[in-house]
Amino acid sequence: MFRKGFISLVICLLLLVSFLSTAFSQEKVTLTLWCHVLILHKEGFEAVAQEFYKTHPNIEIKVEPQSDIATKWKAAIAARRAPDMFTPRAEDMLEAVLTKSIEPLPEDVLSVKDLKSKFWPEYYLQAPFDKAYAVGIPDPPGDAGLVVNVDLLKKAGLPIPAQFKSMTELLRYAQKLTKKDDKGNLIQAGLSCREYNNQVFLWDFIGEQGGHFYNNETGLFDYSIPEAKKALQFFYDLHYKYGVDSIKLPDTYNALSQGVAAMGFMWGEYVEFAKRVYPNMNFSFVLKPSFVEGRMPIFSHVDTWNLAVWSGSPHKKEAFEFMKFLATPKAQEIFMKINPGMPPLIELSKPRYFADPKQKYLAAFLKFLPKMTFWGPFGNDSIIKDTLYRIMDGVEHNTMSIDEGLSEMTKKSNEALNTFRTKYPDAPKPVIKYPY
Amino acid sequence: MIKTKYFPIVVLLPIVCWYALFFIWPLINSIRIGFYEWNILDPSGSPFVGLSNYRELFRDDVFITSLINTLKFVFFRIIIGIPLGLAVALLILNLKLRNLYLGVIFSPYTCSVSAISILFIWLFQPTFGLINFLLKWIGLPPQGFLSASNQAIYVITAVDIWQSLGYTVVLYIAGLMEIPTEFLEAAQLDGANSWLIFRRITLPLLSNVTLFILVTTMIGAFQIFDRVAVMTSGGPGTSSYVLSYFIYRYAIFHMRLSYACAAAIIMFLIILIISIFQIRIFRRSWEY
Repeated sequence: MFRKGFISLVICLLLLVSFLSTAFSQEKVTLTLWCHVLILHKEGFEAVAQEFYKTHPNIEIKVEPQSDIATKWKAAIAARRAPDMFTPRAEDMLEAVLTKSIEPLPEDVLSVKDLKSKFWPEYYLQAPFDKAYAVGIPDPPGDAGLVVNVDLLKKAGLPIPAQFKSMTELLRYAQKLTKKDDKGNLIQAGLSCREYNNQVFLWDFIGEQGGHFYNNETGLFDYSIPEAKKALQFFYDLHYKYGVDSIKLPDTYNALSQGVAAMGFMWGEYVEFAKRVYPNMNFSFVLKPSFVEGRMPIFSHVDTWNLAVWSGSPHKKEAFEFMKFLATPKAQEIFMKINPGMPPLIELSKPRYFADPKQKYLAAFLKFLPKMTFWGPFGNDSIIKDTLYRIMDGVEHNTMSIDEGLSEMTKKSNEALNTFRTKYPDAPKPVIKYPY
Repeated sequence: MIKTKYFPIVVLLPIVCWYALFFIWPLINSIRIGFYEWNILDPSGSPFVGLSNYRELFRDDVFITSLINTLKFVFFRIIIGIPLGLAVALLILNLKLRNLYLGVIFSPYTCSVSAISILFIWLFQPTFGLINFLLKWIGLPPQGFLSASNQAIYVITAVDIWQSLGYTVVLYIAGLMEIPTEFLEAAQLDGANSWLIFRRITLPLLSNVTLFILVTTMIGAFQIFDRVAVMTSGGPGTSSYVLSYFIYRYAIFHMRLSYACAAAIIMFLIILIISIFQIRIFRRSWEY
């Protein structure tokens, strides 16, 4: 009798334990995260995911870098096969919000109050509705300055400043670094200026002269202003007046990596990226000067990288948990150690975070962070920027004159705006705060 | 047991379904999408715009450039590529090591278009490239090639002709070997010279092969994309844009799917008209 009772008790206890373990064990969820194919982004997200996993063992993040990510996430959403999280760039944020492709972040994940007070303005200016939609990742603005070949500058006896004081100094360096063969053909560019972010430099140079290329009242572009002509003329003159670049040399990215350009307008993270891909090259970074001597240069982080949650994700709750962690200083610092750049969080934008040799070259930029401008979001920003780049390229190749180029810029930019507003009649128009 | 009269239907049904799914349906859909300002992220919010996309295309100088470049590319691919292929085929036809020469000539055709394109980017590099080095060596001025807006499309065409030469040569070799030697011997006995034999016997008997090469080359040339994407990305500026690249940029990069569909329909109509014209003009029936 006693034995039967004991056996029954043991069975009941075993059943109870197995029930309790089932009740409290959490189902493991795997989230897919698409990021840009840059190795630094992949490793940055993986490091953050690893740290997140320590406190959330039931949520695994699978980081999948994608080439041409801007196209891929849109195609994936159209096919209803998007990843749980992906990185839309600033130029695509407005459209992603208007089409409800990305989910607004709940207040407990990132409140609007925190977004506006703890993050730099460019992150909430990208999607001008009073909600938080994405969390930014450390990244330097594409118009911050120039990547320089340290060895070529040393060979020329030129010190490497933290920032060029003026365009005159920049041109002096460029001319000293330029090399020609015995027939006068350029074989080493002193300053390569054919990079995809050049249109943002163009906007900055126009703005620094006090030119307003986008009219806030009419909501249209106008490049017929004299400041625009002067800015575009500068890029043209780099080839044909100062002779520091040539259309016969490769574009800036290739020219720097092939050692045929001593300096180039280039995104800052190229320095860290080049250490992995071109370990024999030695690069550093110098902030750009203002187009107008004596004025503070304009910087605009129009090319931020942001992480957002797909509105169709079946694991939104878990994705928000990760987003909440990514928005913390701890996660941002982990990311920054791998992908040096300007942190989205104001708290991390202090000199002590830039003492690390990896980050040091960006320290000079810190004082400009509170004064940054944001060009956009205009709507169809990617089309506008691509169009401007091609027209600048065309002017540099003499397929059109400067005046024709400016006229084309106005026409094509406004056509792109019109197309966007036809698709989205309720889209808000940006209000640009010009510093000058 | 399938009845004999239904057997052809059953056998043809899968391919017809495949054709309908992957060709007819996308064609109909492309025509439809061309009349909207299609929003890939929110198709329900796509306004109907009628012929607006088509009107905009013909006012778009980039589209006009793409169309002209494509026509230039097709023209030179045919005018140079086909006669050159025939000439090389005639040259090697009766050689002892014909098969070896054929293998060498055909081998570029088997290589990846991207790999060959990257190779030629280096060869045509204006400052350090081998081609300009050779030009300078023989006393000619160096050229801009891919960095010159008035040369880029011709350089791309030349590379394409070079890489696809093997395709034309192989087909012509096969065609030439089909010509009965009795015809050629009889013509020689009658006193015909080589040029007359070529013009009156060889060329007409190659008409079917020529028509095949002409149509396939024309269709392939109209679809040129990968070489432009790798060698110039449509640059400098937009000077080497071609129709397929234009469609890609607008459909995929700019996400203006309806605009790209309208351009694709125009391209389809052009190819259709030219193909019908070619087949009518060049169709012959010769019997041995």
